[in-house]
Amino acid sequence: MIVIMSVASPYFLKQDNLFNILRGMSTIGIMAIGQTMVIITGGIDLSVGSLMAVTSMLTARLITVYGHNALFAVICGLIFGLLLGTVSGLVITRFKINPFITTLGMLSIGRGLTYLLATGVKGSVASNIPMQNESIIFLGSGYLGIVPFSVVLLLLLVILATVFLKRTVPGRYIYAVGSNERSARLSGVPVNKVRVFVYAISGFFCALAGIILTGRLSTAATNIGVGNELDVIAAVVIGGASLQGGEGTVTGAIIGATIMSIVRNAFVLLHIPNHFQTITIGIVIILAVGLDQLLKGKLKNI
Amino acid sequence: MPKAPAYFSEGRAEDQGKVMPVKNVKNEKIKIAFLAMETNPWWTPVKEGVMEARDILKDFNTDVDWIVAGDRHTADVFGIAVEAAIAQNYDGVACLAGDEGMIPFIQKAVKANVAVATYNSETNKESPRVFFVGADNYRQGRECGEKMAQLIGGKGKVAIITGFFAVEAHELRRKGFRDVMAEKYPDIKIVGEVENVDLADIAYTQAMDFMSSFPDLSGIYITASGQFGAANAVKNSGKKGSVKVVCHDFLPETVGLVREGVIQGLIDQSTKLQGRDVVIRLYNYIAGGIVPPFGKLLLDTPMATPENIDQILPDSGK
Repeated sequence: MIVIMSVASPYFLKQDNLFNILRGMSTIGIMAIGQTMVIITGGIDLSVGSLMAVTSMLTARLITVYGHNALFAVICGLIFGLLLGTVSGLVITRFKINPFITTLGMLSIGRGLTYLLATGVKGSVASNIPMQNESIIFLGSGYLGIVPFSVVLLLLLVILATVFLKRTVPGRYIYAVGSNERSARLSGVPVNKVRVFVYAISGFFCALAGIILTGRLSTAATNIGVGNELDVIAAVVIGGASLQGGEGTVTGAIIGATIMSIVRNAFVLLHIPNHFQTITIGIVIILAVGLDQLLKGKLKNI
Repeated sequence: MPKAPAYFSEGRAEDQGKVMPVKNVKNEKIKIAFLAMETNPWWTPVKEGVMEARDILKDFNTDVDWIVAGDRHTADVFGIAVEAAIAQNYDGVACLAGDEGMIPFIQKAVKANVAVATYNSETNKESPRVFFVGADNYRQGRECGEKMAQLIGGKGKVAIITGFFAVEAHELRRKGFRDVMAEKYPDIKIVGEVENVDLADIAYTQAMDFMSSFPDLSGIYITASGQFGAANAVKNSGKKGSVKVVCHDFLPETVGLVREGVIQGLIDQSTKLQGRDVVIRLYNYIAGGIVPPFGKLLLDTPMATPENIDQILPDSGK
């Protein structure tokens, strides 16, 4: 795809454009890290877009309306995301409610909380919160050298999450729970704690993505993150994760998010009518997963 | 009920924003339901307008209720709210009707002697509503096209970011913009048209992509929501002033960007009057049989620029 695009458009490989692609996918990528862990355990988190929105709104409100400093607001936002994710995890493990249903409920609760936070105490109509805090703006649109900060952060998180999943005991527990929950339980893996942990981490990463997006747009908008759950899940699946659990990597998910970002970028660069974009993304998802399955099948037969 | 004006007749009402209630001759209690949403900041001025009308009508033995129909402006959501208003014996209902699926519900209300007025959007298929109050989206698109042409000196490359290709109001604006370019400005080339599904983060990425793809891009027109995303992309890429941004609706986040000089043309649709005037005219129709001069009462669409923002919105910088 990269080869085709670099031939098709002289602008594709330009530094600015490459950073546009990476910056554009950085928030989806950050959320995909948490979603990967959830999917490896055999679960799913449909609430990511709403959790992103609610933490964005909370952080902006703390700074703009209540005058708190950025660090305090960011910490509160991250804790709130972690907390909402933990609630999903606890409902799934304690009440044995299907993750699809629980996080679908949380999707709605999160969006409602976003409206509530946007409303404030004076009015009832949800309003966006414009924000000019330099520290938050830096998180979304600042640069470290020539590289956008959000891209640097994403790369750092990918490395940390990969090491965590592959090289630590709790990371291996996550794979164990998804591969065979019963065996994992019999082997002494604290299955419920692991499951709560992955939803909490997913909430945390959604909060981080929400704060970064708030900085990029200089605004906390009530509708940010709408539909992001599908992009995040698609990125993880394109990246080779199995919805049955037990398989998946963070680097794969990032590649998946990048593929989708390149497709979207290509439509603008190649002046292709927008109507084809949605169709193409659908085809890319099916093709990528199909090819992955085919390759895995062939490898097993060798 | 008096006969409504011809459905497709249209024009500007002289008393726009100033219409006042007539005498409630029978002095019977009148109940008006204003069906709305509260999911985004566009509704803030609408609600202010409805509340202003409610306060004015208190002295005319009239109750006005702001009713949140739901979180989508589709017929399945608003239709149910119309049916609920009929069941609650409202005398008048104001609603959005941008979807043909609303027509059976409006027919049902009228059949039950409930007067219906529409605001903001309605379809080209006729319904028995009494009147419509809102902006002419096609004309707004044309005005934005003229503004863009003026800003870039009648030549250059322009990109369009639209809300939804499937929403009639957004399409009318896009068509108006395109028609102006096609008819009057052959040296302006529209280099791309994309859909941001009303989301600011998507508009941000699309604007960045357009600026990378066309380093000599002259302007971006955004037809609907998420406009501040595209404007912030222009600002963050250091192209403020060289890439002109023209978009819609006076909101805190857009007005701030006009003041900064990032947005050079911001057109409004007299949003507050889509609440105020609808309610008072509906009351006048029910209480006094006053029929508006046109079926479609078109509102003024002021254009704010960095040069005139202090005159148009003097309080916005405080």
